[in-house]
Amino acid sequence: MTDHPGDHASLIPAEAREHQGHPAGVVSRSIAAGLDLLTVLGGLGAAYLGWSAVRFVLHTKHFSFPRPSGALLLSAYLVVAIGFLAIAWWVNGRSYGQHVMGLRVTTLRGELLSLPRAVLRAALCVCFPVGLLWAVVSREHAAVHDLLLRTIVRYDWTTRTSRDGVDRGPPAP
Amino acid sequence: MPGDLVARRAGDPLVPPVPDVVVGAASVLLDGLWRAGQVGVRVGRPGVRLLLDPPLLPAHHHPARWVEALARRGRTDRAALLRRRDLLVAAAVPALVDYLAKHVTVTELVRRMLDLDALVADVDLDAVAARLDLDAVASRIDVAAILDRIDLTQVVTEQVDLDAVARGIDLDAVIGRVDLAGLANEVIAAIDLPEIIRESSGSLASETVRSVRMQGIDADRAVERLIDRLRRHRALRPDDGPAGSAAT
Repeated sequence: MTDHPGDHASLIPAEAREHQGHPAGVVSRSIAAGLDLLTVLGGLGAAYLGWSAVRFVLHTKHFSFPRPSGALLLSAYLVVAIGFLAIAWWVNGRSYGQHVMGLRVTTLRGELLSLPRAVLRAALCVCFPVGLLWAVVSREHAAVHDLLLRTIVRYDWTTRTSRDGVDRGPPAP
Repeated sequence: MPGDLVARRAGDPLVPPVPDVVVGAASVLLDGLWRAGQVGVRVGRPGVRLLLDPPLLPAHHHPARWVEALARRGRTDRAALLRRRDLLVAAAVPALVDYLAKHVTVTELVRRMLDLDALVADVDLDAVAARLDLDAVASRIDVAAILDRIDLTQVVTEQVDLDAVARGIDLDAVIGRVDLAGLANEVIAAIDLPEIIRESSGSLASETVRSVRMQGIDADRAVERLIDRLRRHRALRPDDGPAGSAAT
């Protein structure tokens, strides 16, 4: 992927170079999604604790832990998760979990997602996470949201953040 | 001869040896015959001349003509005999040589009978070499084919003192001709220093993350192989219809 003649010298280990630019499989993507889920839940937990701390400071005598409604919890989860994923994909092409697993989300032409497409993809992923399992049977390792939004997840261990610097890898299906 | 008898040493036999006597007698006889022949030739030459060219007979009846005719016939027969001899030799010699070659090893015979060292010692090899056209000889040599058969790398490695060659190189002059600043810029551009700094300073650059990523890739490939195997197995199942139908 980064070994084109005349390109920069690669820091990617030799055993991983052959995979760079190829569509990522379901295991790596699931691990990345799990890490993202933990991150979002961790963020929500931190927000809850922060909210509780503010309430404790403001109402020390009558302090009790807040009991948000289910709708609020669900709404907060959806907003945080969708925002977390969409902004990450729009800016960097990868969420934290994908960063850990060395994956990158791009369009089929190898470009970073636009903000609307990143938001739509994040919404699909959050609302219909089972769609990721379609990558098991798809010959191109495409999940449902990939098929709907014409995106692809590839192995990409580089850390380039420029929107022009994303390698397109092998031809997409 | 009393003088000879006086000169004979004491102890010698009185009678001379028989072979000496016989040889001396033969010599005296031949000497006499030679002188008699000379006298005969000198005396008989006019008579023979008169006999061969008698003055009263016509010239074509002279015996000298017969003698000349006999001489011509003899010359002709002698020439024919020589030609026949040459033909016979030409026919017989090759067969004879073949026969001898079968029974005699000529090389061994030459080696045994000839002193080749002495022969070669007499040859002026300098003169022979001076007459050779070495340019013509060299022009017929296929140098490319010779080089193909030679492992020049091995020859240089084993025969050339590369250290001595390297010691003779003026590295300062070489370095002086190199654009070090430009080279350094190219190297820095090639290694993408910011990327290296990002990779090396990031906490995710650890071996653990690399290991997790590689294990994830391996697991992906394992799932992919499993799914491919299931697809092939399903495509080959006879109760699902012909194999070709699964691919359509």
